[in-house]
Amino acid sequence: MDRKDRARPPLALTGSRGSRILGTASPGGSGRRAVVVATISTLVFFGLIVLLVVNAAGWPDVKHAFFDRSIFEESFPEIARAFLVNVKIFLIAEVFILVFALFIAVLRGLPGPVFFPIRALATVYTDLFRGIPTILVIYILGFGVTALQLPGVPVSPLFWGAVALVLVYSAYVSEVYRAGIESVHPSQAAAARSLGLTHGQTLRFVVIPQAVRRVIPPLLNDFIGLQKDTALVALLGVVEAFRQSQIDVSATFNYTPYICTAILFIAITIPMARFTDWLIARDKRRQQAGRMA
Amino acid sequence: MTAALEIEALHKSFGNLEVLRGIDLELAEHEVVCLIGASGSGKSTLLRCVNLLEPIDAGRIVLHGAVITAGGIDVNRVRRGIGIVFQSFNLFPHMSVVDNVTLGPRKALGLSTSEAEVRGEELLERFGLADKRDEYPDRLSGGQQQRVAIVRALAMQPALLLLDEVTSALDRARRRSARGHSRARGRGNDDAHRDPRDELRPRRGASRVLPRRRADTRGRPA
Ligand SMILES: Nc1ncnc2c1ncn2[C@@H]1O[C@H](COP(=O)(O)OP(=O)(O)OP(=O)(O)O)[C@@H](O)[C@H]1O
Ligand SMILES: [Mg+2]
Repeated sequence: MDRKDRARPPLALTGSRGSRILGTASPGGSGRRAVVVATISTLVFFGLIVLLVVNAAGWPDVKHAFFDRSIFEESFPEIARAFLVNVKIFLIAEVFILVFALFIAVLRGLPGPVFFPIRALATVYTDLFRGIPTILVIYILGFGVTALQLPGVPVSPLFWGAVALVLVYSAYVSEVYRAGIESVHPSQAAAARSLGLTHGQTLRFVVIPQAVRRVIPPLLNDFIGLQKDTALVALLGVVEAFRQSQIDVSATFNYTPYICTAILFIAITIPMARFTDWLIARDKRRQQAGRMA
Repeated sequence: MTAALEIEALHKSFGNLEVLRGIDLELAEHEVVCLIGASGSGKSTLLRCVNLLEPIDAGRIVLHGAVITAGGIDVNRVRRGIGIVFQSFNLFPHMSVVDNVTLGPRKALGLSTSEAEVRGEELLERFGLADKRDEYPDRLSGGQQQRVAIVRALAMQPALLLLDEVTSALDRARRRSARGHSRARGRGNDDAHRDPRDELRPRRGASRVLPRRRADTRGRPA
């Protein structure tokens, strides 16, 4: 039975070269021309917009109020330092969200009537925290819980700000996970259960690994939102980038520090957005390759 | 001869569609039975019921003297003793061939990774898949995928093996060798094999062939 496999006939249509025929156009002559055309059209388009803005009647005032070079250089280091607080909140919250949201998603998928109360609780949680504006959750936790003065409960506004973000974003992310889990065909779970694996083992080894792979792009999308929303903890008095720029604005009577903060946020959200796009594109390529096989 | 598997008055409906209407079937140890019936007549459904993947509406299934369709039964334990090769294979696409094959032995039987791999590799070798050990399922041909699915089921060393259209994607030579292998196992261990309809060929490996007419009330040996 082995001989047949080894002496595989060399089919002319298969192989890596064959698959390229159906792929996107290779960067040949037409590809290079497309790049040139895109570059020119972009330059013309943005050139026109710049011309329009710069020739507007109020431009000199706006330029002075928002784009003051010396103020920019002065406030940038301070705001950048404060921005590290945003990065810290983001990184810590992200880890908790990834874990907690998965937990909620799994609870919502527990089978059988026994677990109805738990499923219901998880549903109420996601409904609540997706329904209440983030800003309110931050206020309620940051001012309400700390006012209780419970022994052993931290009073740091930074802590409660981060907790609020974790609760709100976990509600969104758990729905993303759930969509991913439901997108895995039931026959996969059936195959795992047929081997005698438990419900938990089936989720852990078969369903969730496939689900997570599928939801990475939408997950990253939510995290771009989270990065921006770290600015909301400023409402509790935490001096992060946005709060620092507010301080600088009131000190200089100039809005340039806001631009400074905006640039810092863009500097981390745009790479993330491009990375997400790249992942989506790669997934698509893989799926196409898989379908061909 | 003690019956390895007894199916009594099994009923199964999907909504208004009654797929299985009182199926009776008795299977002896080492027996290879082939189930034949038109497309959509409920062959796959019957196999899924035996594996407890589908809740049944009435009747009972007895495996080695124990009623497995009763309440309070440990379904995971029952399934560990029943191997099934699905009609559409259902391999795990995110796992290599060897991981597909060793998942059950490792997680359900509690074998160590090395023990499970020894067992898996030996079977892969026998099915001519040794060189595909680290390949992913979507890079295998249909017949290779089916053989991996067979190996995955056999790696659990089940007492009962349910094969759904088992040789549909295999060429003639492989079909013969797979059948030979299944039969060898059927004799050597306590295996009862049931190959469902597949043109005419699997019948040759079967000791009995059952016709399975749509909504048949009795499964009678042909
Ligand atoms: N999960 C389900 N929900 C509703 N109807 C179902 C379900 N599974 C199977 N059926 C129906 O039950 C009938 C029997 O299906 P089954 O897959 O058992 O047929 P089969 O004999 O295996 O056919 P084939 O030879 O084509 O594989 C079909 O009419 C099918 O539409
Ligand atoms: Mg079928």
